[in-house]
This record gives sequence, C-alpha cells and structure tokens, in this order.
Amino acid sequence: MRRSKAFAWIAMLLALVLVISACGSGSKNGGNNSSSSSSAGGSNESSASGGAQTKKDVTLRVFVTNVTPQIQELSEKFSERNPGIKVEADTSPVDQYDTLLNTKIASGDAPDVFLVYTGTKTERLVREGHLMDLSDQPWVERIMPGAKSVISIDDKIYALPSSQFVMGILYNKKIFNDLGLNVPQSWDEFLDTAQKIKDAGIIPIGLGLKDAFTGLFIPNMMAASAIYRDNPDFDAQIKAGQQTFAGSAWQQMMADYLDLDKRGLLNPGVLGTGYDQIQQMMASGEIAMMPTLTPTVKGIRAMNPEVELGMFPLPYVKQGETIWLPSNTKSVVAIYSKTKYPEEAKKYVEFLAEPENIKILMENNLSVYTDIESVSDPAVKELEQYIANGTYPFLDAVWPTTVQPALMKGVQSMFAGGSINEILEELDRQYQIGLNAQ
Amino acid sequence: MNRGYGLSRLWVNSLFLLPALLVFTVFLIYPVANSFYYSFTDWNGIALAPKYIGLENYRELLGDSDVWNSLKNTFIIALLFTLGVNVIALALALCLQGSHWIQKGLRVWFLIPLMISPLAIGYVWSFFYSPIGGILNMLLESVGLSFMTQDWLGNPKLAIYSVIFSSIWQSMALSMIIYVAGLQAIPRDLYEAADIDGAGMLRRFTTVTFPLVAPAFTINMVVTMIFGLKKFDIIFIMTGGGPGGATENLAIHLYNQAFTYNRMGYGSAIAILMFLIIFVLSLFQVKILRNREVEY
Repeated sequence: MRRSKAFAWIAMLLALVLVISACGSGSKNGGNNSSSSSSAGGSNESSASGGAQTKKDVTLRVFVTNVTPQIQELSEKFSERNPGIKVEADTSPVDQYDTLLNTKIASGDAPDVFLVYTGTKTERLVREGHLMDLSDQPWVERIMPGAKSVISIDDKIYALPSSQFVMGILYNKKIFNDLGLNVPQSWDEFLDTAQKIKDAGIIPIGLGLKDAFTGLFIPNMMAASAIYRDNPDFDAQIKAGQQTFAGSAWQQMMADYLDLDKRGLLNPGVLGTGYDQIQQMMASGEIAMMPTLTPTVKGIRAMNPEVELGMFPLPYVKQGETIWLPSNTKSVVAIYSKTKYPEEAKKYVEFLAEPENIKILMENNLSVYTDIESVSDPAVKELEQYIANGTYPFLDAVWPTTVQPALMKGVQSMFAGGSINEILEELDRQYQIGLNAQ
Repeated sequence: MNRGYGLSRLWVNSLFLLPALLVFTVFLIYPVANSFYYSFTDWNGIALAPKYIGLENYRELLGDSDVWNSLKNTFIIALLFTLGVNVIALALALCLQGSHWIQKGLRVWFLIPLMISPLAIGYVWSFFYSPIGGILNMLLESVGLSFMTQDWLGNPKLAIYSVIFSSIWQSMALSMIIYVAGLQAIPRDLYEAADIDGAGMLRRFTTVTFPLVAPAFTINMVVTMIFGLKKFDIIFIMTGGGPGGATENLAIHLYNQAFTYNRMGYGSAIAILMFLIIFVLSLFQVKILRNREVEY
C-alpha cells in the first residue's frame, strides 16, 4: 500500500514537471521563435508558413489608448487603400495602458505598432531596444523644429507626433466679465483676481487633489516661468549632480502653492474632492478658474454647452516679465523594433502622417507640423499666442519615471501638513533611484 | 487490505486530482515562485534580462520609511476591519438567527453589498464622503450637526477610518452568515439548562453561546484577518493610498512600486514580505483559536 502511494505521488510530480517545462520553455525564448504554447497573434501563422508559399495577407497589430476611435477609423481607411494589409486595432483603458504594453513586450507578444508617451517613457523603451529608428521617414521633415527637438532621443526620431497640448488656467468668462476682471499678467494680479472672486462668494480656484495627478498642473506651470525660462539647463544640472530640488526655486514655488490654500482661494476640502467633481463644478459655474490641460476644454463644454470659457497661462512672474507655459508634444505611435512586417508598419505610419489624417488625430490640440494649421477651440486659441514666448516640456517627459509619482504624493502630503523640505528631499532621492534604474 | 484498492484505484484518484493541481500550480505556485525569483533582481518590467542583486531589495525595504508606514497602515486596517466585522456580524447573527420571515429576509438584505462590485462601492462611497455636496455632510447639516462635517477622505487623520468603515459595510454579511450557521448548530437544550439555572442574557452568552460558536469564530477571525491584511481594491478606488500615504497599505505600496515606479524587483520583495506576514499571522491565529474550541 505504502509503496504504491509513493509511486503515485512520484508519477504525478513527473507529469507536472513535464507540463511546466513545456510552458516555461515557450515563454523564455522571447516569443519570437513561435513555439506551440506561446500566444497566437494573427501574425504567427503567416510567419511560420514563410517563404515557401505565395505572399499571404499581412495582419498588423496595433495597440493604442486615448485616440482609439480615430485609430480604428483610420485603420479601416488604410486597409481599404491597401488590400492585403489588415489592421487589428486593440485598445485598453488609459491607466492600464502602460502596464499592459510592458507586459506584452516582456512576454514576447509585442504589437507591431503602438502608442507611446513622449519623453522618458519612450526613452526607456528606446534604451531597451524595443523601438525602430524612424529618422529617415518622409514625414520627419514636416515636423516643426521646436516639437522635433522635444521628441528626439539622441537626435533620432522614434515616434510619430500628432499635436501639442498645453497647460493653462481655464476660466469662466462670464464671471470675469460680471466682476469686471481682466486676465492677470503677474502673480500678484492673479492673487488679487482670485481674492475678488472669493469676496463675491464664488470659489476662485478648483483643485481636485483626491486624484493625485491634478496636483501636478500648478508646479509644472510655475516651473516653466520660474525656473526654465532663465535656466533651461536646470534638468541637466540635476542630472550632473550640480543642483537639487531641495534649496532651489522649488522651495518658494511649493510655499506659494500651499499659500493659495492658506488664503482660502482653493475649494474647501481639496484633498477629498476628485477631478470629476471639479470639472462638473467648472461647467456649472460654481468655480471660476481651474488649472488643467487644453484637451479638457472639450469635455467641460460637453457638460454645459452654454458656459463661456477662456484660458490664460499661469502668470507666476513679477509684473512685466515673460510668462512661459508647459507644452507637451503628443506622440501617436512607434514601431516595434522586432516587428515581422517593418515595411507594412512604416507604410501604415506614413499613412497616419498624411495631413488630413493628422487633423483627425489632433483632436482639439495645436499643430506640430509646418504644413498643418491648428483648428482649435476658442479657449485653446487664446493660449496659442503665448506659445511663441516660450515653452518647456511637461516635467514627466524630462525626469526619470520615478520622480513624477513622488511629486504627486508630495503635493498631497504638503496639503495634508507635511514638510516641504522633506518632500523636496524625497524628489531628489527618487531622481537618483530613477536615474540608476534607467 | 481492501480488495479493490490496488494501484489502478490510486491512478484514478491521481488523474482526477491532476486538473485542479495543474491550474493551482500554473496560476499560483509558478507565479509565486517567479515573484520570489524577481525579488532578488532589479527588474524594471520590460528589460529582457533582469540583473541579480541578491538581498539588496530586502535591505532597502527594511530601511524604507514608506514601507514602515505601509506596514503600520496594513495592521491598523486589518485589526479594525477584523474587529469591526466580527463584532457587528456576531451581533447581527444573534438577532437574525431565528426562522421568522423578517429575520430570514434581513439576512438576505444585508448580503447585498457583498454582491456589488468593490469598485462600484468605492466610487459611490467616495461621493458619499465628498466634502462639497457629499451626502454624509449634507445629512449632518440637515439635522443641525454641521460642526461634525469633515473632509472624510481628504483629512489624513480620518481617511483611513472612513475607508475601513466602507469596507466593513461591504463585507460584514459574509461573516454574519457563518455565525448564523454556527449559532444554529448549538443544541437548544443547553439554553434550556442555562435558563433553569437562572442565567441572565449576558451569562447565557458568555457560558453557552460564545464557547460553542468557537469554530465559526475561528474561521471568521482567520479569514477576515487575511482579507484585512490584503485589502486593495476599495482603498485604490477611494483614495489611491492618499492623501500623502495616509491610507497606503502594503498592497497599494507594492502596486505603486511595481507598476507606477516600474520597480518590479522591489515590488516583488514587498510582496514576499506581505506573504510572510500573512502566513505567520494566520498560522499563529489558527493555533490559538483552535485550542479554545470546545467539544460539547
């Protein structure tokens, strides 16, 4: 009895080991040598049949978020124009996109063409060798020089840009007109304007810090004017160890940021209110101003088509000084370096780069191509005039990926009573950790 | 030796066990073993070859004040959750153990939160707790208690208790049902005997009910403690671990490290730490609670 029991156990374990080793070897090969157990993408079958047969239909796998409806529409158009190339457009919710993309790449199931975020996130992918160099593509020459430098990594282009969007203060024109207020041009004027709005019984500035990312708008806007306008090498200096967040202009910036709350110029219960609620209150006129991105305007107009909106850059400057704004160039897609269909993928991206198609992908944002004009919302257009004065990328595009989450948490801590020094020191610490991990 | 119990019988048994064992191994044992491996590397989630760094991650997490903060929050949440759920569930079970149609109906009624998606619960409770236009504050104001209105989720001292309260509301029915089953198994003649001896309500509870409901108590305590230690979804939706880490427990912290900061290796080390804590605590709990179970 005992012997047969032991025998059965060993037999079961052997069976298990066999199965596990089969699964294990499939994924370890990096997935490109298609083994039987690796996930079947549309392209796998055609590659296995390879050269001996006549050319089969190619299926390009595309993975995006944010611009999903536009990509799906354009993919259909592309397939019509190019019979023989099918496009499978896959998508995911915005906040899971990064995780899903990383998982797909790590498991060897990378899509052929996928959305990338400008800046350090793309840089990471480039360093690991996952993106194809697209500097020789025909559409590269049409990109505006300012945008081109923002999206270049080591002077090479790895992604197709679609538009740029900007951070600013969205304001309710009716409230400003009723109270006889002008667009403030300096920090003192800004505080003054907000105070007048508060005295009239309306919430001056809306901030939804329960959603931690909203805490980033104001520091980004402040930094553009207070730091980068006069010292564009600030980030290079931090990288080289010559500068730190602690003890820099960030101390004053954060203190002034917190000051808004101390003066009662923000909505009550900032930490407990979410971004959705702030947007609703902006649409209904309960809030006069809110820091946000240009793409948000469309959503607020949808909530209340009657609301009169305008935008101005946060004037974190002394009277008469130039105001800079944060501007981000939005990339649409990049091509996987090890894709099986490089020619088809490049053709697809070239198609997306055509002016009518870029216009569809631009949504409500500002153009980055020399041959395309921005067609945007009147509130967004109000900001366009300031872009010429000077812009700086969104900070998460120039920092290691660990710093922005630390800033988000830090802003919440600050409003909860935490020490500004500790927060800045944590930023420095995370900067170093992120730098070493890259 | 039984006649039909030869080798073939064992083969049949093993074959039936194999599918379940397979799923368990592939979806649980293999990933856990992998996590263990990654916790000794500095993997960032997309590199093809993670670098082995030995105990470096563990050394870092022992000195990381965020980890200690998360640990503290994990214990606060688990303790209050376990106590809250068990006390309320037992109280409800005592009232609702009978077979009157109202009692049966209420047992089902209280189960409803358990059937709703935790994400929906988190979202709705966030609205409830909102500082402007939130129902809780509006209720307090309408009965003249406006001095008690708070920023329930934004105040770092209160936030954790607000979240714990919502999650107790969500989960208490499960424990209640287990307690009802345990209570219904107590033979009625013991209660009669207690009455004859002149025992009042409290005496009855402490000498008859509580000792004999011990098996249900053991299960509930261990299970709620494990759930409490692992809480993730409701915290993620309501506060995301904020404000400033006030509601961040080990699960949220490890999620942030692994997926937001792209430090899979470090996140795995935190996960292994969580695993060890839960494992040791559960063993300990079961040992103690099993000993006090009484046979009648």
